[in-house]
Amino acid sequence: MRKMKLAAIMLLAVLLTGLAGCSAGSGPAAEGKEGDTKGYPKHPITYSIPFDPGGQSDLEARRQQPHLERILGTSIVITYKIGGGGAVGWTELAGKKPDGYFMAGINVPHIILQPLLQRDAGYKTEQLEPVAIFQSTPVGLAVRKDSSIQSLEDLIRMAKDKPGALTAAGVGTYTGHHMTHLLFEEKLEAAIQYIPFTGAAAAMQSFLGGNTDLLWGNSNDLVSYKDEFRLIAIGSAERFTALPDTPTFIEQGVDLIAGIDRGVAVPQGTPEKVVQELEKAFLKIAADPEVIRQMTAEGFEPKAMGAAESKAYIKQLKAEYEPLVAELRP
Amino acid sequence: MRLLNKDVLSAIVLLAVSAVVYLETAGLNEMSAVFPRSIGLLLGVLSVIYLVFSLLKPSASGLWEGTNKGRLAAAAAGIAAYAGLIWLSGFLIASILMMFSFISLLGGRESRRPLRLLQAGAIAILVSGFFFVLFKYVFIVPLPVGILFGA
Amino acid sequence: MTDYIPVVIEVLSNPLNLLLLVASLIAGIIVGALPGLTVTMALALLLPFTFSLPADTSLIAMGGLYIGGMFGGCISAILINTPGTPSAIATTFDGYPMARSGKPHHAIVTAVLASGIGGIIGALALLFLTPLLSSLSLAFGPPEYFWVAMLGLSMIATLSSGSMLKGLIGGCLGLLLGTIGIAPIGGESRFTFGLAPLVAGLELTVVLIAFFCIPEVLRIVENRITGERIAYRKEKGVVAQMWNRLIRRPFLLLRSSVIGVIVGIIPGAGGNVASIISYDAAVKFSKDKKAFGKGSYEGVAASESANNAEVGGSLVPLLSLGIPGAPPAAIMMGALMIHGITPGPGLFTSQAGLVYTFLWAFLLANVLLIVLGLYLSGPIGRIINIRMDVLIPVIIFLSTIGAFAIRNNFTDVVMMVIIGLAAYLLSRLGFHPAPIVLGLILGPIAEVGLTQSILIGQAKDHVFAFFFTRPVSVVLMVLCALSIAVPLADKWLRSRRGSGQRQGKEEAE
Repeated sequence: MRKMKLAAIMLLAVLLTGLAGCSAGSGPAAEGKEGDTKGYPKHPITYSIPFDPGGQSDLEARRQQPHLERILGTSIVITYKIGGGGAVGWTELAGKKPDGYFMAGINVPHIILQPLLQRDAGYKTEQLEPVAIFQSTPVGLAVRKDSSIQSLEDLIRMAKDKPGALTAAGVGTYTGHHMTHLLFEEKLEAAIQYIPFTGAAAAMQSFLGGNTDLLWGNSNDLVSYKDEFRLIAIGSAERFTALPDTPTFIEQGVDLIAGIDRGVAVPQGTPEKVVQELEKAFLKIAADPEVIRQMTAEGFEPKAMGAAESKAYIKQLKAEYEPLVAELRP
Repeated sequence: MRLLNKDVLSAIVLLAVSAVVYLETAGLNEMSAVFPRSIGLLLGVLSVIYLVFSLLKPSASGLWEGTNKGRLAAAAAGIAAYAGLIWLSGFLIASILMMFSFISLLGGRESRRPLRLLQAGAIAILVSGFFFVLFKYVFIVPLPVGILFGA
Repeated sequence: MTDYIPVVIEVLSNPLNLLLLVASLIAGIIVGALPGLTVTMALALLLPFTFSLPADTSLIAMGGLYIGGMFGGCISAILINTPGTPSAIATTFDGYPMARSGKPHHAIVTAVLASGIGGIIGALALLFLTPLLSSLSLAFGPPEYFWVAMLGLSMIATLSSGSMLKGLIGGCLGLLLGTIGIAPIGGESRFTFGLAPLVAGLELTVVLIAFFCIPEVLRIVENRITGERIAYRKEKGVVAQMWNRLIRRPFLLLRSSVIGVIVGIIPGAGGNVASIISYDAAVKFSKDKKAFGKGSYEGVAASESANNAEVGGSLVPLLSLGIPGAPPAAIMMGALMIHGITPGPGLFTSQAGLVYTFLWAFLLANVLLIVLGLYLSGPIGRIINIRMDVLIPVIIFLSTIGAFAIRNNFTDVVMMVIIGLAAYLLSRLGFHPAPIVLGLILGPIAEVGLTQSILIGQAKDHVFAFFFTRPVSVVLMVLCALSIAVPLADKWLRSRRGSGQRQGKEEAE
């Protein structure tokens, strides 16, 4: 009994010293003063993903992780803050200390549309300082192989014959797919019923099962299914590398460019030097030929937009969406 | 007094819930509103039936009959205080304190003897520490640090 | 056709692969047993390693993790009344009462055997029936999702142990809780009352912990049984005993596994739905309905065999159509893509060696799960032997860390406390947690199915026909009607017999 008591005391002592050591170790790091950008980064950087683990944003971050760690010379900790189509994660980012030790993946147009359309999105687009945009997936329109629709021309004719009778599956409401659909209807001056789904997989399953006539899909999904579908048009500016046989909307006389861009952002007010440091790292990865090869094969369009360019791009898109949104929410 | 038994009161609360649901869904678009509004309506109907039943056949037993209110309140307060402490001083410290106080309070008078207190402390530190390390460093969960320690 | 066999044998006889399979199974069991840690998260952590591992090895490890995690959820369901993963939800109904009556070892052995057998049946379905099942998966459109949810909700009739009215009200409350946050189809935020953290909705795991764990903790503390231990009786021959009992009910396991596989192939309906529907079926087909909810091994077996069979089912749409049926399957898809393999039509022919290696490893993993699980069941069962005054704070601690870790969100801890206290109050008022949680799980599936069907039906000018004439819908509707009518008729018959007896007594007096 005595021995046990002694052992317990010793264990306690060891644990307590360990504990004290830990808290002492994390002390100065936690106090990292803002403005002190010399020698950045001094300790691990958190890379937050506002979507499910295993989603495209996560896969991209995991692809960048080893490169980032090599270039920045510190470890990158990937965490998840999921919910609200990304809104929860971006709300957290907007409220974080702007010291460059917390960044999050961003998706365009999500970060523009949510604050415009939701009463309580929790953040403003301007609160997220973009560092880089490194990937884009053009959105395309597909029909099943057995569909009577052969081309965009057929589609337009059918939509005008019977307004609202054609249905198109896409991901979510007030999202990139939804906006693309609305723009498409506006340019066509025809009505097609948009059917939102909770995710790309659900939309795909329902479309393959014959529940909707059309499908709005991201290029990477369309690439894996190119033998099952007939692709009517794609929303890239020029023909898409991975789908060379698919004409663009513009080629077919519909002035529509649509896609979803992925990038990374830090909280507003982060010192410029820190943003530059991160920007350099992300652009270096974006220029890596192996990364470019992998992304292209998976059906993405590699991009390398820096901080200033990304910011201007987001601003320009926001101006484009505002009138459209005003119609949706009077 | 019989009229205001626990069932009547909860039926009234449920009716209020269905009213709130109805009012809240009023400003939404059709596809956002249709499902919760239908459920809210169903809840309203069921609550009325519930109200009628509980007025006709009031239940004899009170809500807290046969419970030890003191112990119950203490346990509930303990859990709430734990959540507050996490927010204040971070996950590890709060957990050690919570576990230590629960073990030494729940075990009765005997557990307040020095040896048992020491044992309680050791268990609190070991269990909290083990899972803290497991979650924080193996599963990379950013456990809260607490506002006292700046985060 | 059979030229992949040598490849399969070569890969599976590699000791490194076998070792990795066992390690990932154990890791999966730990992750599954801890509430708040999900298989999905563990798979994501494994993902960077798969960059450097060969494709077959990484798939084997991921499969092991998935299977282990699905089983692990039952451990905390049985020991502390909290499902470690939402899929173990129905395991708490009977598993925890079994443990409280001193039979945790029996419960865990039942769960191990049922999980293993369910998993093997799921794996066999995946191995031999994939082409057939994949077309069934496509037959599920919006109206069918709606009816599947209704079928699950019809279980409230079975589950309401006290009053049916209170069960229905509880179900409504659960459905309403499920609508908090952004509407899945309408896109507007609801019932957030201006609070940004509510926009993302309530997290199922947090609500499960709040409803099953917190009230139980309060009850134990309040009842002054804190100095005691649960009477854990060490018995010999538990494995043989449970095996004999289960083998005498072959239809129980077979039915549950088939339900699991079918729910699995429907993308979006996960192990939790499988376990609920299977539990419901077990109650309805059982002669001894009274035993359920009080520690029936049949309830544990029904839930566990269904959720493990669901794993095999959920991989069917992934391998045959490229549609991940569940979040863990989505990560496995990501891992395949990293290796330049695109799941989808043609995978079985273009990558036969890899696919069949994976499928046989999957089968092997389930066999290993039985061996490993039985070996561990004794020590795990003995955990409950801890004094209650120590066990209670550990339970509070694990629930809290779990509620936080699921979304790394402190708001969820606060929600857990608030909902947990409300859940205790509700149960004192006679509203049991099961119907409420059922509503929360099935609500979103029902809502998405309903609103999408309305939209598509309106576009095609036949909303009514869209709901009621599709063949799979009709089958599901008939099942729904039966599911509601059978227990009602049963109750009615019994009450007639009962009142008849009472009358007889009165006359005698």
